[in-house]
Amino acid sequence: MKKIAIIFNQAPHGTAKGRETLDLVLALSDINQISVFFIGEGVLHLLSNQQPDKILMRDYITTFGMLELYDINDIYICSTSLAQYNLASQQLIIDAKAVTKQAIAHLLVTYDTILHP
Amino acid sequence: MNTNVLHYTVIIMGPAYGTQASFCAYQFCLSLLNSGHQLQSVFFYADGACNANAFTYPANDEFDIINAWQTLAKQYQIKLSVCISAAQRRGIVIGELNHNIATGFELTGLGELSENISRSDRVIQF
Repeated sequence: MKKIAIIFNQAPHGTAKGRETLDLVLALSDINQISVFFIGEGVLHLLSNQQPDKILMRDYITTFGMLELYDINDIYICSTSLAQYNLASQQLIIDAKAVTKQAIAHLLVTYDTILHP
Repeated sequence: MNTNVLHYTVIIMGPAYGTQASFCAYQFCLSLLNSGHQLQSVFFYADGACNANAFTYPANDEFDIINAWQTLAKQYQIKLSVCISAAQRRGIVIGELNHNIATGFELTGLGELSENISRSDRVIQF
């Protein structure tokens, strides 16, 4: 088992990166301990009321609700990025711990592996 | 002699053409093997699956990255694993009628990557 940090740092839907990173999160959690980080544009993944079907995309956003079922509880979101997009934690689809950029930098050094799209 | 041998997992998320990812990964793999480290498998995920497309024909004066991976895999007995769902979405398939996966590449699942990572000392993503 390894302690793995997986980072979402790009906006959803414009590329397949977000969707394929989420698949990675769920698949790697079988025998590893996963933490998920939303940084920069990546914070937009957790916005509620998205309608990807309007742009002919699969709604993988609802699948973030599965993280808890997969025992993935360490979910961090960058408070600096949230502020940049003028977003409040209440607008997010799942509970994520809002932490500063500096705190994220300190956290990331504690992982065996860091993966990002 | 290197007394501190490390087991590596290398993940490639960039395609065979259009980004430098796969080329950098290849040079990295060569270096780590030449330094005496261990590399059991290379895992191709997301756009990285495009490295397994047998229909890729670079011009004569370009470096053939797919051929390079095949040669490296043969020489050092390294498995070239490709995520099956990432591959199928990009039209790389094994079928009775249609078959375009390059020789030496194997379709597999993310579960294998998960196991590889859990057993490795180092994981590098390109």
